[in-house]
Amino acid sequence: MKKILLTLVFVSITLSLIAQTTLSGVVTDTKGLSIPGANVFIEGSYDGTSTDLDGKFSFTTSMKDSAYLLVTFTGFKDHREAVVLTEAPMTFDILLKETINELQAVVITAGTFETGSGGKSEMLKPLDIVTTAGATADISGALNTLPGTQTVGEEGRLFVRGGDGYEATTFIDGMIAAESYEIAAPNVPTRNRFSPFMFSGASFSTGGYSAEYGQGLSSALILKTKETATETRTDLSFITVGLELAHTQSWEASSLAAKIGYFNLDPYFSIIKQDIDWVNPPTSFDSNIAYRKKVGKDGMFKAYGKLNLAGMTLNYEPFELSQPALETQLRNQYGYLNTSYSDMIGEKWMLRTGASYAHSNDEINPGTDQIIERDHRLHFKLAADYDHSDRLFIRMGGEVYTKLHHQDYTDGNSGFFNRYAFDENIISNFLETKVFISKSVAVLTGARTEFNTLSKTFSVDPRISLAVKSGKNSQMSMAFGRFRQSAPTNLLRIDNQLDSEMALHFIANYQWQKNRRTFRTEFYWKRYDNLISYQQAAGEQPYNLNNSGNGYARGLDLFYRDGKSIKNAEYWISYSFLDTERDYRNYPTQAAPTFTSKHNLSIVYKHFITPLKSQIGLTYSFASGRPYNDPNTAEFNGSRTPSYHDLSANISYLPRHNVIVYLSVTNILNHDHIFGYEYRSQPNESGVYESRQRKLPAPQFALLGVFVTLSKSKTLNQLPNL
Amino acid sequence: MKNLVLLLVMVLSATFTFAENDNYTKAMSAALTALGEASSPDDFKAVANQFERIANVEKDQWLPNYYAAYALLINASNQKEATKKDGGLDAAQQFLNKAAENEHDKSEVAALQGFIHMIRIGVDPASRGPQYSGMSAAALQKSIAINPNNPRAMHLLAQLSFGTAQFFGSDTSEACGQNEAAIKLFTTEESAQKNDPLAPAWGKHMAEGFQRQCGG
Repeated sequence: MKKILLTLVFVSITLSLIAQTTLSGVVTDTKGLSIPGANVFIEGSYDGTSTDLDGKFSFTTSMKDSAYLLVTFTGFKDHREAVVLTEAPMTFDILLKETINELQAVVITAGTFETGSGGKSEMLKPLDIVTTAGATADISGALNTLPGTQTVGEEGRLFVRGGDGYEATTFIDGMIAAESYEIAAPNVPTRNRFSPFMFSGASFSTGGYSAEYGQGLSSALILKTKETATETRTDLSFITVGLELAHTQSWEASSLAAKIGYFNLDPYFSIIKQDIDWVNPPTSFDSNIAYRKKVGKDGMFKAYGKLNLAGMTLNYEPFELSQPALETQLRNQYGYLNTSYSDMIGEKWMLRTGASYAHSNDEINPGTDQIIERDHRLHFKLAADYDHSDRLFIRMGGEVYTKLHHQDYTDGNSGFFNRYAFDENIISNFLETKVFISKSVAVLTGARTEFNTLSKTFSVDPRISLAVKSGKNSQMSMAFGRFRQSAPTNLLRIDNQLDSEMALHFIANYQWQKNRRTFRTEFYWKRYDNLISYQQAAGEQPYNLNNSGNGYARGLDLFYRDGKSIKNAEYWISYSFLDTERDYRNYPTQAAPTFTSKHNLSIVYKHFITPLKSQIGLTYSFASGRPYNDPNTAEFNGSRTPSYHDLSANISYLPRHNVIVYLSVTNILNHDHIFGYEYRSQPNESGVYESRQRKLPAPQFALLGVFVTLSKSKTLNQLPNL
Repeated sequence: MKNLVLLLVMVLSATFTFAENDNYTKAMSAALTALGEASSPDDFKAVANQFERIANVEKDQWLPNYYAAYALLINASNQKEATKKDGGLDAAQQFLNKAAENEHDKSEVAALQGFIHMIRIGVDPASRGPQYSGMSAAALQKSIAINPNNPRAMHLLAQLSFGTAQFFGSDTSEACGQNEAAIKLFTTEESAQKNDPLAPAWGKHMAEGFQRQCGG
């Protein structure tokens, strides 16, 4: 017993008489600069210290024998070194290697405008999409104030760098969002079906984008939906053209949001005169549902569904045929479902999978005739991202994209029936590697393969981009790639043998960014091949369709954004120069298309006036004259419309924390917008082809809305949505 | 004899456990003292390092990571430059995430989360305000729902409501009343017997300083 006690005492004494080793040294980076504030310690013990201003450290440890010295500092790789502690003082020269993190590393920005990423390529903030005057809360409207886009006032779609409206493809959470525009009457701009309220970020590419995205000849608009909502809330919107009710229910790791809306333009059109003979102005019913669930630590499941029913009836006078006005009814049913799941598999692999389905059913009844167009689009994707290290990233995956389409035409008088149809499957794979040669040089190389079951063609399209940091606040990027898109639906259904259209993009970009000021400029050169050409008689279907068309586009984009110089205000200026010609469709020769203009300018200004609790916004857009073909002259597409000027304004007023009053007016100077001219196919008695102007049914559009948010916390309002 | 050995083993292991806990408490107390004395960015960084070292040993404690996050958060709130502020907040967020991986006080972690979101607003109030004020309020309300007597969450929420009320030119008295209630809760917390001497107790000075804006 005594012995045991003695042992016990002995053990205690040994414990308290622990030997100490002093460790000292200096911590520097690879350039030899000292690192102050680094954490230096013996792993598994409390013993350690922080480096001083000169990167020096010194501390003692009571640990003995084999141990590990660990040095950590944010932005640098951990340094772990085996040491043997013997009471003898030890000195160290420690070199920390920088990790390449998103904040400091060079970013490949050629062709890309981002919102919501918070990073270097962020040119617009999520709020901007909806606070831009003239855009009336339409995604495409806001993006149209960026360089590289063309103002095509009667269309409302995105026209990018000499590309036609169908060449810009929209993706939601990586999946194709087909038929993403609402139906519209002739010469009335359409709107994107998807509300900007849904998205936390967007990447708008005007060219040279990643191999993961296909089926977009000119542009990819990649939208990312919001994550799990953190707060339960109800939103009510009263707009001059409709009503919306939304509710979001939030749980610990999931959320469900639903929104229904009804829109009717009848009251508005009865006050503001329209140059359209409406029988039934547009009405629509819209419903959306979104479910989000966090799965485990890193998994995220998203499901989104939309159902939209829209219709309108008007008396339409087809100018070309010089027929009397025909009562024409347009109806559209649209359904969309998008599910995606992503999760980490281990530390380095991320698995992503998704499926989307879009169904669009159009019924057009001009007089007694009937045209029915039905579209089913299915898209599956399985992709994996592998982060090998902070210097090497690999992304790969496979996709199947299926289009089922038919158009039925029935002549009301003769009973003549015709069906045009096609079923197309595109099976694709992509592989992309991003290598950081250093923090200042990044190279992205990739390729996309596609097999098209309809044209039975297999293709490999390379994509390469490069970015170099040229200074503390500046960088340069370059991108090259080949892009393809299957023939547009309205042509492919006539001739199922048509091959895909192709485009080559070369882009060089310079960007400078400092303290909320951004300047960027981009040169580009594009070559179009395999464009579809055909012959067509006036008012008839095209014939002799083939892929012999081609064209080019080249130009310069400038962008400057400043959120610093004027207090409480922010503005950006975009300018685009475009030189483009094509020989495609029914063109007799190479010529500039009617949707292009040489010069485009946008100035967007936003100012928050605190005493008035209001944000005002102004947008000025300019586009030089667009080509149109005057058959009275010899040159094809040789005439130019007057130039386009538009000044739009909006104001958001916040009388209470949860109420917003919003007013938006386009074209406040009431400028006359002429988009082109329609000509008769036959000259009149004096040998002149008569024409009529193509212009909006009303020169201005005004929208007044009141938005109310009900939530438990009193700080929420719909400002992030407006 | 067998019994004696058993007893000995028990006594010894108890001593060791106690010694270990004691080391933890000592190290934490030292770090908390340093945190109280920190004033420069270097001080805060060093304190955060100190907590990180403790967290590195005490893998199942939430407090070392929690305080590392807190130190970096305070440091970030003192920064002027946007990128530094965001960088500091990112680091703070990482430590808070680590803290939440262990058994933790959910009310305190939610309160600190609300605080991080609140400081994010300051980087760019015009564009971040709407988003982050909602997120901050949600986190603080969650904190209060779990523990209605959390003075820190109460004070931060008062501060957030005050900013909102001031912006809309509406009455700030509700926010000020809430802050007064928070100060009372701080006093109660101080006088109460603490289960854990290391548990979060910061915030009283902040609340008192803020009360002066209310004219109190």
